[in-house]
Amino acid sequence: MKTEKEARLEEYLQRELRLVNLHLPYKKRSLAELLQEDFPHIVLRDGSTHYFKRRELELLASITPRHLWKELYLPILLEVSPEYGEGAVVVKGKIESMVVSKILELKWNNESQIIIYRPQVAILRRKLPTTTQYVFSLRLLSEP
Amino acid sequence: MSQQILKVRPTKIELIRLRRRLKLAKRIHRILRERLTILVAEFLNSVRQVVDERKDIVKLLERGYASESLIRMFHSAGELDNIARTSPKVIEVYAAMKNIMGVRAPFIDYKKVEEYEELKTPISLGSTSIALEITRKTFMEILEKVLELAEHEKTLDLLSKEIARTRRRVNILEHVIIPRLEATIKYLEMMFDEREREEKTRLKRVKAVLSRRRQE
Repeated sequence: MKTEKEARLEEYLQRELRLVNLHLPYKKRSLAELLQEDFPHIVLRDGSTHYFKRRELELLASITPRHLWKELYLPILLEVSPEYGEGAVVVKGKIESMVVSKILELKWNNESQIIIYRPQVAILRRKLPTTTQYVFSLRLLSEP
Repeated sequence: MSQQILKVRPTKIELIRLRRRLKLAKRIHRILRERLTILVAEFLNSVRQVVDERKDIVKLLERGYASESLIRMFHSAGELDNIARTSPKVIEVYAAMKNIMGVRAPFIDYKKVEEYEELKTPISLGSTSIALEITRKTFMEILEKVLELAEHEKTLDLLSKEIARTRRRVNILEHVIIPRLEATIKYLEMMFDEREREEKTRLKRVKAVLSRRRQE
């Protein structure tokens, strides 16, 4: 039988695991939709609201062809994947990869995902602080 | 202290439970360490931004005060007061929240001056000068930079608190929880091994006694 202290420890450990991805949105929204709003925002899993900077949306609109605005969903998720090395993140999605490649001035060969490393992540986060969001990969959360 | 063992009942079930808990603790430790790395990277990014913005503000202030002293040569204090009072609203600021890895940070945005045609100071050649327009633009730039700086400095403060909190959790896991669990598991394993050895010896002894009796 578990003592009260042990039960609390286990509860704490489980809670940490649940909390780690609470900053993700319930539902992503397209660039086209967000550009039409006065205060572009999304609702996060913890119930709070996350606002996007209009200047960032305009930057994204300027580098993305107009017909793709409806297909670019924000925020762009930067998946933390330690299997590619410490500090490496994966950007999944064709349009998202294209946008990130354009911002970082990388070559894009129609890939559906792109791996970027710490210095590139720093540049990307500096240019798009509100329209990108980190996410812990399911593998990281489930693997022992 | 870290090598202290937990007070648990020495049963196989308890050992399985402890192993499961150790696995969970190690996984959380790895995630929190990763989170800490990201938070530190964000913090350093914010520091760089704040330093750059402060440098820019200092440069702009130097320029702004120089041109302000210049317009004071052309206009009297009364004239400047008049112009300031009749100027329209210069900037529209709105504040909200943004989320960086679970850290709720302030978000300050503004509508740029260029977006408002009516915001331009009404220039009448008789009453105002080019220097006045230049000063107005410089101070508008300063205002924009100050808003950005305010956002980033507050973010920096919040990030540093979150880093300290996360580091504390990582340290607790690394130096207390995981070593204690490992020590307890090791203790239980050793105890079960010892019990097994005892059991084997006892069985051997019983076997020897039985065979001796059979021979008699």
